Amino acid sequence: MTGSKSNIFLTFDRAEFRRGAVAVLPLWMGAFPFAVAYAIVARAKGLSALETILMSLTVSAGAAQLAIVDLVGDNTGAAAILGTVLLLNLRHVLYGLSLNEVLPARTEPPRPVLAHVISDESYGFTIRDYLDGRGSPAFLFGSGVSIFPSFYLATALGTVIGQIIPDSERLGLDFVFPLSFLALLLPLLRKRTDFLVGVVAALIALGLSRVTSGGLTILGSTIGAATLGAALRLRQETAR
Amino acid sequence: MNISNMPVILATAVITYLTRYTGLSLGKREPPPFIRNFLSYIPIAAFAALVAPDVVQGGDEMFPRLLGAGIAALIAYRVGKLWVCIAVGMKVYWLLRALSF
Repeated sequence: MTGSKSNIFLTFDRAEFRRGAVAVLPLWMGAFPFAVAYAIVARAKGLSALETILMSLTVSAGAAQLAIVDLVGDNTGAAAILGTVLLLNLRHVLYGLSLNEVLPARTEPPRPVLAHVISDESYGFTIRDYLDGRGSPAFLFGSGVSIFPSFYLATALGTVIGQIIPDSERLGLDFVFPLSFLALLLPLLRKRTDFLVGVVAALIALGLSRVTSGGLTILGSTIGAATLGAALRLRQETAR
Repeated sequence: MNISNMPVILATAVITYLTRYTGLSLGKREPPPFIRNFLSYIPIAAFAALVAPDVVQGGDEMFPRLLGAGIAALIAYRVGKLWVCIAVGMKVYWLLRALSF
């Protein structure tokens, strides 16, 4: 990699960081109204402005935050809240395991820093980039950090002047997320087993999404379909 | 204002961080074949799970979302550029929504 190096706080490849940050730019469109919606719900559920913003700064996981403020507002016990957050975010363990396979042993920035920027989006764009034969820790860092300014700003805006901003569901901006992951998914489907795993994951997700929330839906369908894929591959390999 | 919210918020931040760090923290080692295959299918499985529930919906949203995603999928195959796929998909979606309202 030819990018210049930054040595002030962290050392990483700036060109790769930029490439990652630019790759996820289309998703700003979806993240912004989502964070606004979160802030409005948080304020309506009785969280202070400081708490609302602090959660975006420290948790930085949109779907989990919505669930948290909902539970806090209903005076749910701390143990139940923490348990729910754990379940909603367990899919990050899968993303981490998957990234760990492709990341080098030593990364710049180091793994504890990279961990904080793992999200559906940064994972998706980074793993695709690696599967396309490129990819780097700095790309992951850039794709994760890229969303933050938009996310923070939208939280602040939603906290202060929430009600003025039009409802994101009416604008339909959230549709940018499935479109992005669809575009990430399709080129990965090469063999019959790939298609099968994708279809099974989609079907499980459709079933689960009727009875549970987004984070659990992704966790359950990913484990289910990836296990099926691994079992099929193992059978093919032993049959040979 | 409820003063007890702050510790809960910070605890959720810690838990969220730990879920993000766990997978990365395991170090480089050669997993057994079944686990390696499992890990290699995570992208496909997770992407499909992220797409399906947001595309397949009932009511007024059904047609705009299915058609928007369908045309975006064709574009993804033909052009292969992600932002073109997103732009065309959103355009189709918005157009069909505007027509049905």
